[in-house]
Amino acid sequence: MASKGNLTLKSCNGKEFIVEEKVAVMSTTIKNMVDVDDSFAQGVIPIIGVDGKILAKLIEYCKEHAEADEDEEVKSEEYLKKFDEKFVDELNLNDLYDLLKASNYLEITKLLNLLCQKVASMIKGKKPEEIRRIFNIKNDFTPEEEEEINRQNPWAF
Amino acid sequence: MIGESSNRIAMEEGAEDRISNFPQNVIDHILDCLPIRDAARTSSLSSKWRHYWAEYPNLVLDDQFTEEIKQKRNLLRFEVDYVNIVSGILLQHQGAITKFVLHFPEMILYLFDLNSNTDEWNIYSNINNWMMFLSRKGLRELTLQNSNPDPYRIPLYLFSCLKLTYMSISRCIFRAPVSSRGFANLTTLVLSEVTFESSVLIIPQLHVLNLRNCSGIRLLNISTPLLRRLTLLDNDDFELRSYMNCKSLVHAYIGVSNKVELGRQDESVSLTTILGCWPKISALYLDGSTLDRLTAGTVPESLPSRIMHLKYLALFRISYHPNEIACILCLLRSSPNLSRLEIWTHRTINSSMETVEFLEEPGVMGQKMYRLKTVMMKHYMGSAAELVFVKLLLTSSPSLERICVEWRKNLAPSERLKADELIQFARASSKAQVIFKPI
Repeated sequence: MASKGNLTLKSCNGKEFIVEEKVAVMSTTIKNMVDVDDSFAQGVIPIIGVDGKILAKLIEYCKEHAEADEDEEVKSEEYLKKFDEKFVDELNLNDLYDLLKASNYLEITKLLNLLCQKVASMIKGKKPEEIRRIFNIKNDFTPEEEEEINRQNPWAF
Repeated sequence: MIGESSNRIAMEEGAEDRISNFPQNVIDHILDCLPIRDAARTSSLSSKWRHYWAEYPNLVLDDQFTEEIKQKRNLLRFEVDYVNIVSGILLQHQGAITKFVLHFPEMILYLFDLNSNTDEWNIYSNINNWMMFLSRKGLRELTLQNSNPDPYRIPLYLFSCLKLTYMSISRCIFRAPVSSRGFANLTTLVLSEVTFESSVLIIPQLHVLNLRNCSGIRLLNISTPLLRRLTLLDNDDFELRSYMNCKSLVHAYIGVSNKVELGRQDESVSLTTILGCWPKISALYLDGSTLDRLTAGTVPESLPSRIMHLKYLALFRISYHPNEIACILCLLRSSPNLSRLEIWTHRTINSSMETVEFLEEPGVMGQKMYRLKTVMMKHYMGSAAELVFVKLLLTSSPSLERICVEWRKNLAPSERLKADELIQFARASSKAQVIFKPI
């Protein structure tokens, strides 16, 4: 059991992580659970649908940011920006998806924002064909439909 | 087909298309991070993305959007193209539009071609149609940014957008209809270069109000009981009476252009009454002419009730007239919890001997400022009045940590020498540092 001020998070494949409460409550979902029901603060909080690998990543991110929020002088904005850049650069597409899903479910707003920015940067300035290739999106339009759609927004191409 | 071959490659790599199946809020969040042109282009990815775009609720048609249209087109056709593109975006839309930003570009054709039938083909009549459409779309946030010299008359439909929480409008004519029930949910209202016609506005939830360079201020009758942040800057009149019931105000920024004629002084509105009405004020910005107008020649030693929550005081466009200095000292004596003070010198500085003598009178401060930690002297000109003022602050602030003097780089060397004297002054606080920062 976690000591005072710490919470235990359990991934869907049974891995347990002991983290400081201030780190865990970066997630609004966890914060609400702890606020509403004191037993969560004592026992183990199951994190549904998030495996150990992704949960470790989430904790890594929240740790950096929780410490920065606490004391601006220790971690400058510039440091955090570099950390964020490195954090998203190292992700493969599947991890990116898993983290997006998890940060949305756990309501870690800052991280969700960072990941959406990352996806947007993969879309920005690219032709539809390139975007489809990157994300493996299937083009389900008939050639006639596709032509019609491109005609609707000629300014965007 | 290319689609099939890329499918095969991706399948070999084991990547499946998960992004298309994310919840709508995540898709919207991704689109929010893109310029509107890139967001619109995703509509041709697949039928799912076509829907995502059609239902995307945050349409930001800002200056970047108009610039991009301008670059790609014949300038003489620009107005027609612009109208067609915006109309096209709105016609394709399904469902609610919660956020709409529109930058009206300057219309070159319209200005050159005044002989053509401009009554029928006028950008503003098109904008009116868009506003009517938007007023039925559950709009929550609206920004209208007008770059044309002609002001745009806000259509009445806008006053029926009762869900609005945020509204920012520039260069428009604003007249609330008599039947208007006000904006029940509006929390932020930002108006710049707006001309008011007789309007009564009751905005019960408003937290932030910002009026800059507006005219017809006297014709606006506004009630904002929950206001927390107020900015009134360089409007055509000085009108504070409407804000005297804003008991929750924490942040006020008030400046009045020197171009506004003095006179019509409302005697019941003074430094004493205004600050008495704002018991929670914690950050206060006032310019030199506002100080003059609020004291009308008679400056009290200190205010009858102290400004207990005031932590941050910034006095801008200060010319160091004796009356202004007396006001500043009165505010300092009345703010026991002040921790940061900023003085922004105005270029019309008048460093008369009268001010210097006043500041050098023994015991002029009369008390210590125990909580004052930081002082910023901005746009420092190196005048004798500024110098003795800094000296006074140094001797009467026992907790002072630093005085930062931002001086203009083009200051004459003789003035700089005088500034160096600052370092020699006696200090009430042993840890007080004087920092010089050229700008």
